[in-house]
Amino acid sequence: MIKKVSFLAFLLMTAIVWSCQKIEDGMSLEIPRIEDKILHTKAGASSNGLLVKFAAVPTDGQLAELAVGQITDFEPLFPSTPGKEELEKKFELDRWYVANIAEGIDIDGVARKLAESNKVCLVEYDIRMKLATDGLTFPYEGPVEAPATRAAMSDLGFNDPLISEQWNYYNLGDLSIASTAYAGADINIKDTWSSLTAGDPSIIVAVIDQGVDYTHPDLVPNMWVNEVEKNGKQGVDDDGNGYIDDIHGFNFVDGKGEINYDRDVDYDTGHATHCAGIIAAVNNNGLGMAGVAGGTGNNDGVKIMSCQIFSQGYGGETRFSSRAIKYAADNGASIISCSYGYPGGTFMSDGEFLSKDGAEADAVRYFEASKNNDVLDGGIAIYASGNDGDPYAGYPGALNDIISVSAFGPDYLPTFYTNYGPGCNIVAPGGEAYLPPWTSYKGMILSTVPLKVAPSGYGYKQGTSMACPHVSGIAALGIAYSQKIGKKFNIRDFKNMLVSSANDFDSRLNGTKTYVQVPGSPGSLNLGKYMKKMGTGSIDAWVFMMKIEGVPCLTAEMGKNGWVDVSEYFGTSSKNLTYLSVEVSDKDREALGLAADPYMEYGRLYIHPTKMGSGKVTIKAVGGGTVVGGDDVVGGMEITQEVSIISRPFKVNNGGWL
Amino acid sequence: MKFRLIMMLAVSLIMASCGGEKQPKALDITGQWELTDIIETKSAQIGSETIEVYIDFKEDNTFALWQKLGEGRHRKYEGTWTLTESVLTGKYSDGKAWGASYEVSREEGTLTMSEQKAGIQTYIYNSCTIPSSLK
Repeated sequence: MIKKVSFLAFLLMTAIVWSCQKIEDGMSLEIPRIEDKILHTKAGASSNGLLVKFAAVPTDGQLAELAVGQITDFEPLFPSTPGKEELEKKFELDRWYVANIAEGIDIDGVARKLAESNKVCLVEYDIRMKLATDGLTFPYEGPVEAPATRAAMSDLGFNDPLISEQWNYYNLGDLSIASTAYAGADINIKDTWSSLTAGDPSIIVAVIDQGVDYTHPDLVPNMWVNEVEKNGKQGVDDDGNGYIDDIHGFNFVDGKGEINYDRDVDYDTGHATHCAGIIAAVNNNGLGMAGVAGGTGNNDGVKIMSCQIFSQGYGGETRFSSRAIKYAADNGASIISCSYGYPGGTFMSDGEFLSKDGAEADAVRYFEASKNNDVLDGGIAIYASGNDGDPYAGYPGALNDIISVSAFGPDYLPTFYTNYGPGCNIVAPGGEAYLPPWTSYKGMILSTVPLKVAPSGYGYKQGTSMACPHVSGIAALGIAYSQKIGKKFNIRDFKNMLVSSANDFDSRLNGTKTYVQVPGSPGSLNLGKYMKKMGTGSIDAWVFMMKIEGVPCLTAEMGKNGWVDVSEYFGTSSKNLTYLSVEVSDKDREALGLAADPYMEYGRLYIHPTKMGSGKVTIKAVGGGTVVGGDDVVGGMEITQEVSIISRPFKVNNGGWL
Repeated sequence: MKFRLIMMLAVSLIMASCGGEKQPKALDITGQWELTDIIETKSAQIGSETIEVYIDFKEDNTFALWQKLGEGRHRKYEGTWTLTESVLTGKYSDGKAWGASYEVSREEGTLTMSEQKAGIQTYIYNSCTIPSSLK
C-alpha cells in the first residue's frame, strides 16, 4: 500500500514537472535548472513584482506558504471572466499570479527563491515595455474642416480635407513630401474603399497603448461603447465582466474604467490616439483625415477599444499588457493592435523568449482562441517590429505566428529606424521625417492626436508604431469584407493571406539612402542590408481582398490565343515580376481544350482554349529578384496564385457577362 | 332609321373587336431576370464554375447587371440596351460594346437570349426579384 502511494506520488510529481518543461531528446525528462525557470532579467523590469506561473492552480495555503518574507502577497494576474473559465484553464491563465514585493528588496533573490519551489514552473520579471515611436509629434497647422460649400471629394472618394496629406493611402510621388517620394508607396486602399468595403461596426480593434482620446471628433462615432456600463451606475460593474465603468475600454495602469490621454503631455504623447486614427478615424465626414477602416461616413467604420497600459509616464509592464490582451479577448475584440515592445537587451538570448513563453505569450494564445466575429475562429494579434534599427524584430512581435510590422517611408525604402530581419513579417507605411530636401514633416504619418498635443487635433508621427495600425486596419477590413461576402477562415489561413498580400519591396534595395535622424546631421543607410529582410514585402489592401474572395474566375475567349489580366492578384509590381511557371493539370487542360501551353507576359496570362469550359491555372512568380532565394542563394520570395479560367465564345475586357 | 344606324355601328364595333386581324405584340424585355440555364451546359454553370447573373432591363433602355463567376463577389455593370425587332444589343457604361448581340424571345416568365455572333450559346433567364443585398 505504501509502495502504491509512493508510486502515485511519484507519478503526480512527474506530471507537475512535465507540465513545466519541454521534452528533449525524445523521451527523456530533465529536472529544470533554477535558472531555466527564470525569464528575463531585472533590467528594464518593475521592481515591485514578479509574474509567477504555477505548475497547477495553487491553493490559498500554497500561496500563503510562499508569500513570506519579501513577498507581500499574491494576486491572480488574470482576473477570471464568467463563462471563460474553460478557455482560461486551457491556456493556463489561471496558473499565473503576480507576486507583489516590497520596494527596495533584492528582486533577483526573490525570483530565485520562487524558482526553487517545485510548485512554480516559471518566474518572469515584469518587464516595462516601450512604445515603438520616438514620442515626437509635429502638429498639423492648417485647417482641418472643409467649408460646407466645398467639401470636395478626393481621388479616394471621401471628403476628408486632410486626406491629400495621407500619402500612406495614395502616394502619387508628390515631391513636396520628399524629393525621393515614390508613386505607389502606399497601402493601395483606393479600390477597396470604392468597391468592396470601408469597415463594419461589428468589428472591434483593441488599441493596446496609451489611452485613446475617445472625445476626439474624428474618432467619437467609431469608438467602441460598452452600453451596459455607459447606461449603468458609476462605480458598479454593471455588466459583470470584472471591470468597473469600462465604457470605451479599460485603464489597466490605474485600474479604472476611466481612460486618460492627455494629463501630462510630456508623457501622454497622443500615441494611442494617433494609432486609433490610422485604424478608424471617421471617413467622409468633411473633417480631418481618413482611417483605413473608418467607414464611409454612414456609421459603418470598425470600432476602437482603448486598452490603456501606459499613463503619465507609468505603466507598460507585462502584467498590464497581458491583462489588456485578455480583456480585449473577453470583450469582443477581433484584432489587437500593439505598437509597443520589449526594450532591446531584455533577453539573455533570442531563444530564451521562444523557449519559455511568458505571460504575454499565453495571453496572446488565449486571444487567438477567442472567437469574436462570424468570420474567424479566433483573434489576430499585430505588433510593431520596433524602432531600434535592429536586424531582428523586437519581442513580443517576434514571437512565432504573431504578425510583426516593419516600416517604409514615402520613398518606398526602409526607414532609418525600422527593425528588420528575422521575425519581421511585412512592411507598411511608418513615415519618415527629414527626407531630402528636409523641408517638411509630410513624410511622416498624419493622424489624430489630443488637442493638448496639437491644437488642430492632428499631427505627424513616425515609427513602426504607425506601420502596425495600417496592417491592423487592413486586417479589420479583411474581416469586414469576408463577413460581407459570407466567407469564413481559420486564423492561420487568414494570417497567411494577410502577410502574403504584399508587393515586391526588395527590388529597390540597392545603393544607399540619405536620411536625417537628428536635424543638421545627415546619415547614410546601406540599403543592401535590408535585402530579403523586410518580410514578404509591402502590404497591399486590394490584393488581400482578392485573396479573401478566393480563386478569381476570369474569362478567356474560345478559339483564340488571348490574354487575361491577372495583375491585380500579383500586386502593383506584377509587370516587373519574374514569372517562373504556368501550370495546368491534364484534366483542366482537356476541359479547356488548350491548343498550346499558357504563358505569362507583362502581368498577363496568355491562353488559347478551344472548348467551352473551365479549368484552374497556377502561376508562379518570384518577387524581389529573378530567382527564388534559399540558404545559399540571394533571391526573392516565391509567389503562387491560382486562377480559374472560364472559356466562352467571347470576352469583354471589362469582364462583363453580356 | 336612326336606331338602325346605331345598331349597325354597334355590331361593326363588336365584330371589329372580335374578328379583326391580331396585331403582333411588340417584344418587351423589361424587368428583372436571373440566369437559370446555359443550353450547352444544361445549368447555370460552365465547367465546375457556377455562374450567377442578374439583369435589370429598365424601361428607359438602361440596364444594371450583377454577376458572380465562381467564388468571390457580385460585380455590378451598367449600360444601355437597344432592341431592334428581336435583336438585342448593348453597351456598358465604360463605352465597351457587349461581347455579342442576341436574338431574344420572351414567353411568360422566361427570356431566351441566343448569341448571334457565332450562334453557339443560348441563355435562359427567368423572371425574378433581384436580391436587395446586391443593389
